[in-house]
Amino acid sequence: MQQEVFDPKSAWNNSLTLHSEQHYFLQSSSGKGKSTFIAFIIGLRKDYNGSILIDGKNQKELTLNEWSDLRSKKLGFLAQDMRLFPNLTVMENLQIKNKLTDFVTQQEIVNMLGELELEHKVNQLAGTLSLGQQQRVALIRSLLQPFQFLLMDEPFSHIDEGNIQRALQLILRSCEQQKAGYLLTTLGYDYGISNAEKIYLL
Amino acid sequence: MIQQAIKKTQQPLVLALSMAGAIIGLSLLMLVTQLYTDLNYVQQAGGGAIGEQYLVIKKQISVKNTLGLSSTEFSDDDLTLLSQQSFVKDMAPFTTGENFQVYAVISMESAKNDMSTLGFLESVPDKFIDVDTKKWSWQNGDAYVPLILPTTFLDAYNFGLAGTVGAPVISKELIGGLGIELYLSGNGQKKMYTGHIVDFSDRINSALVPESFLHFANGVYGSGGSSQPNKVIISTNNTKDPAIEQFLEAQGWETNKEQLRGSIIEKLIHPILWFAGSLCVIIILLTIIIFLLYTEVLIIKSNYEIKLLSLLGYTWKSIARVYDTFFFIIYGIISVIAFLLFALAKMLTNEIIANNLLVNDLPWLSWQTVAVAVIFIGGFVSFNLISIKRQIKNLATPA
Repeated sequence: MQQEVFDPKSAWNNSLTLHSEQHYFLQSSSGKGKSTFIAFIIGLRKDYNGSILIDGKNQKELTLNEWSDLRSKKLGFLAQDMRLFPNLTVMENLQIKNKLTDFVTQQEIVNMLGELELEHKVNQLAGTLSLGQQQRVALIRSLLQPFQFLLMDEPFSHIDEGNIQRALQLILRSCEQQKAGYLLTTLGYDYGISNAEKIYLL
Repeated sequence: MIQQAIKKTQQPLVLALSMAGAIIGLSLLMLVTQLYTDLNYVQQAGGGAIGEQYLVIKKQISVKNTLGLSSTEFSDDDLTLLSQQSFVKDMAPFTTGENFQVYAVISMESAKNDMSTLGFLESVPDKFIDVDTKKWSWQNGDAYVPLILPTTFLDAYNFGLAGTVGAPVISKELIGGLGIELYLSGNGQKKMYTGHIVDFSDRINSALVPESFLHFANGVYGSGGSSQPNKVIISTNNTKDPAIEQFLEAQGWETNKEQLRGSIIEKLIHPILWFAGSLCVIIILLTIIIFLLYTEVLIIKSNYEIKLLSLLGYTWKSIARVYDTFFFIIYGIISVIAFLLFALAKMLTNEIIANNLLVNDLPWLSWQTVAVAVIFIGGFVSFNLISIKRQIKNLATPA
């Protein structure tokens, strides 16, 4: 596999195009703006100069309904801080997404939970899970929708090595099924992950 | 599922108190509006058998009259002068019985004794009487003579006589079923007629019979010699026209206008109702503000959840619907309880009006009351819905 690594200035203050079906790494040390970069793309923040075009459309001009459409049908998102509903159970946290998208079956959800060793946590409140468990639940949730591109902000920061590999397999499989690409931010790409075609450095 | 996600402590005490405020405000406002229209209805029904547009005019009684120095009768000149007044649309003198005796006996099975009294009969042209013409007619040979009695007669009976003689009180409707034996004597003749009370009036203090009966009775029992009238009934467009009062005062004449319930309603009760109504509006407006603040707090408390739902792809409309549904239920509860309280209060006021103002056929719900309720419930709903929409959209918009 061919890997391209871009120089440190390649992400900020430069034009950058992310193609669906391609896999990207965004790597930098802490505080360089990886989360900010993703927050801009997913529409959590708009306090930036320049423009972000999604499918050719300036995302500052998107209506709220277009954002809903984008977030439930085209752009998957896994936040660094997980963003689960602490007062809902693991299953409810997943169902709340799947009810909206109607993307997978209940059994498929159970299978994914099993794959990431969470089957015994199904009925536990998300707020009572460990950070690593929360991260795995959030990861599964991000896959419960159709997407052309998946944004993941330090998705493995609290997960042990064994689960990282299983989680990665799950992500890659899902991307492959949907012919989708992803952008994964990381402090360093030393997870044994070597399948990103492009690596941007911030 | 969304409901569960954004379910928060909903400050039940604050909610209960603001609901109580809304219920009290709404039910009171409905009651005040209904009372206002009820009293207008009473006012229209006003003098009972003699409508609001009619006034009965008589001369003031003074010592001179007692000493025989002045007459209480209207002369032809008096009548001409009165007819020339601009406020007089139509007028007619009262016809009185001419020197024959009337003795009335009321028999009631439940009372220990029959009640009897000497009386007198009068009449005015039928056009001044607001009673179904079928009821208000008499022809020689008819079984009954229709009667209109003063309202004070019924009051005196119910609140005075009934208690004293141990007889039951009697409603306006019920008294219509009683037969009153009228013994007419004079001119060497005597006969009993059965009288039936068809209505009451505030405007008279005598017993009215149809003109046809009085003419007949005067012919048979009267001693002739038609006297001048001592009462005149006039119809006018506006009984509150100050010209009427000025004219009557200048002439030393009077009308019982001041005692009319319409006038009391106008001068005392209407201002009180307006004041109470304004207070209710203030209560309701305050409650709306409290509800708006409550909604805001509720939404701010779920700030995280709402933003997250939006991030997951839920539309602002589907999130707002959760709050809309919640408040619709609250409005529903408020409306139902307010309406029940209103109905209860209406039953009480109906009874008070029936007992004191002798009007039994009040409408249950006037369109004005419905309109007021719809406007305020509508106001509540729309203010809140707009507020919810604005806040949810605000939270869903990228910062």
